[in-house]
Amino acid sequence: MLIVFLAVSFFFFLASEPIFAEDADELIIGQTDCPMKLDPVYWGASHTYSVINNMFDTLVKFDEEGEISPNLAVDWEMVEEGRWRFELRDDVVFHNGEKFNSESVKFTIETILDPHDPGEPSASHDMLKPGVLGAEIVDEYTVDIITVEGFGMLLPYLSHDIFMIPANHYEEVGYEEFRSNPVGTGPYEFVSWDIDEEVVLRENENFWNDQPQFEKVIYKVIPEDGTRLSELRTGGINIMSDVPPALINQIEEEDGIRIESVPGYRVMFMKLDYAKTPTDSKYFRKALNYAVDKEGIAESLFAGHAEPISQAALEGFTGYNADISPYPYDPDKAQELLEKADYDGEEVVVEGPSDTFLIPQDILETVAAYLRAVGINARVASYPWGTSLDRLLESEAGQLYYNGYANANYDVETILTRIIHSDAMWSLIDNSELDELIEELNYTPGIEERQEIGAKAMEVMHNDAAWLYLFQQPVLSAVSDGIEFTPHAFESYSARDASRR
Amino acid sequence: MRRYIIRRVIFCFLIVVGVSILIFAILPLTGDPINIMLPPGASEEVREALIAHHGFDEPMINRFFIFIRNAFLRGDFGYSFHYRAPALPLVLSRFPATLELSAFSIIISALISFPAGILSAIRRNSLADNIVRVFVFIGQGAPTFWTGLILIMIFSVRLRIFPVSGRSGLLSLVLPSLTIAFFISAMFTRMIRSSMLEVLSKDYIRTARSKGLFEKTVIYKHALRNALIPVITTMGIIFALLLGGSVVVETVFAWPGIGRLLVSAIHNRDFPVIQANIFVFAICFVFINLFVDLLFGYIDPRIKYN
Repeated sequence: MLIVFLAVSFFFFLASEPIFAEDADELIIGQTDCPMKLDPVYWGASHTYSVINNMFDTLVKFDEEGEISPNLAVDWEMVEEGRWRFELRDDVVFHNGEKFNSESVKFTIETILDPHDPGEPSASHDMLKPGVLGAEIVDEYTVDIITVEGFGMLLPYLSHDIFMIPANHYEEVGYEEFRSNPVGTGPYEFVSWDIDEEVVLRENENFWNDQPQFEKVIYKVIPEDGTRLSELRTGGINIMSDVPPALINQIEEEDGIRIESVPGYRVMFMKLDYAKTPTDSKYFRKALNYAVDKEGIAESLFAGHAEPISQAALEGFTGYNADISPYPYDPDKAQELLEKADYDGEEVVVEGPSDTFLIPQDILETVAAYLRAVGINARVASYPWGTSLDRLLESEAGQLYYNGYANANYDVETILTRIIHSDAMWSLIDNSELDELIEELNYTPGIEERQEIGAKAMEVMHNDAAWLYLFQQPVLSAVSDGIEFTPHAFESYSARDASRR
Repeated sequence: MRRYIIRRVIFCFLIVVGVSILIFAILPLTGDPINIMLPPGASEEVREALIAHHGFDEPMINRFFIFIRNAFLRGDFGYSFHYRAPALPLVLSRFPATLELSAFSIIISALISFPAGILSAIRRNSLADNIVRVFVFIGQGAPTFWTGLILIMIFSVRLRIFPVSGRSGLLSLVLPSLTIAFFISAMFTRMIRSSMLEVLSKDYIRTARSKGLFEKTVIYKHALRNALIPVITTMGIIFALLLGGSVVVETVFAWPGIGRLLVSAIHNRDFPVIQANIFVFAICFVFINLFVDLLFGYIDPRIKYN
């Protein structure tokens, strides 16, 4: 009898609609992974950026049109070759009360150029080191940043990657303490961090800009997709990151939650190994690009949420070449090119990491299937990220290697220098014309010249079919209906982009 | 007896040291941790500086002695490559969560499996027995991943009784423990059932019955106590294994235990955290085993240690 009663009640409850909990002043974001560190000098992957972005500010920022606009700095100019002068706001304080001024800027730049923790790689260090020499105080709210002549990336880096840290406090407590108790100027202050569990932030009542929307912001680590979605449905979180593409349609049909997605800055492509056959042949590489239906992949695997790419730069980036379109899907042309390349049926390994990116296994299998359809003897190989990377660096990986790179600086130089130049550690390309253009770009400061050189580099890459171009990886989030939110194309889920409806 | 215990304790320490050394030797074979630490496009200089800082350019034998000295004389397992926090404290901070989960799971599974196993044994081949055996079958066959998600769907999303995930008090402990318990109680039920059946067929049980004792006394006072001996010891061992962290359950329920920490450390090639994790687990495992052996000797008067 008891069993029958329980069974009936279960059916009754299963048929009912879930109700949503609302805590008006809290924003809870569920991510798949934990930030690696909270010290912006060393920040790494996007899960880290999401959290850091709430606590710290940059000197300048990109506005909606992708133009550099004031943030902590109100004005700037290049007073002479290699010397940029910044005028700072005078009404900003750090969370601990310390004033933000030119000393903060000088200290930030110097710390990034010479990070205090030698055992910790710093992406921002790698960005600034080639071109920035130091900073000099002019007066309390005016500071100069000295660069190598021709270094054109200062403003883009300052707008996205370089966050201001408090000089006195940082020196006083040391980097070890600072990374467990970060102090910045941002709209939210640090409260606590349980590693791999959650980060809790609270509103900064003395924030110098628009008042923060929430009293409390919590970043929870929920690695399992099904659990994260359940938390969203029950109101345990308001924003779910990293929605698996397979769940897009289901979430869009559900009441109370919806998908918010943007095409991400992460371009996805297959690296093509110039040092191996048959990818050493330009005709073969071109054939690959005609053989794969990027639109088809975007439609079927991402429910239309991915955008095919034509080049490494994205629209709005300096160096974007508007005259290049994505290689069209043309299997007949692909076969013609295979003949021109004298392709002899050699096995082609389509390789990639089995994790890290969205649905990598599906992408590898799909690309291999398209290749087989035009007569290429393709085989898939995938390994976990670490092993995969080792193989790439030891030249043991397949001729095609699935990879992605996220670039938020609105300038194509970063990806060119770090991923495409033949000397770059991860690059499989070997094109001397391309290398020369990149080297020229490294020392060109003016925006128009950079645009020209960058666009030319894009053209050379395109004509050489240096990559198998694929798509922009979408940033897929699911949001509860009470919240207004769009994820940032840099795969960050920042409370700054959220508000109550 | 005291000498036996002291000898065992010494062996425990030797085992822990031995396991740690073995892991230390094997880890470099899993791959290069430096590559993973570097941001994409990092230069050779950065790479070399990092290698030098972590001492990876030193000969293996030097690194080995440094490790032994730091780990066993100073309790210092170094800094996590990934989080840059001290490795052993990081692992220890996660340990209470796993301890809670393991303890609760064992308790719940005892509450389920004891009655089920006993019922099944004394009413052998009845409807009750068959129901229990189906339950055992499902419990051992259903993947914990699936069980966990189903429990969340029913009890968290639909019924709103328990939180979906995370460690936030007693209520949040129920579903993850139930998931683990569902799996292990299947095993315990079978054990109790077969142990009971074996004991119930013994001569002294027949003697007890022919003496005219109440059936309840026969079962609980005479049969059960003897039947439980192997079961208790197995439970101890299972508890020790659970302390290694139930990775699947910890992932599904976002439970901040050491199992999930270990898996992500392996994924990130975070050698210090892996070492610290294995060290903690090894200590728990060998000492709980020792405790269970001594308990066994205490309960069963036939066993003598000397």
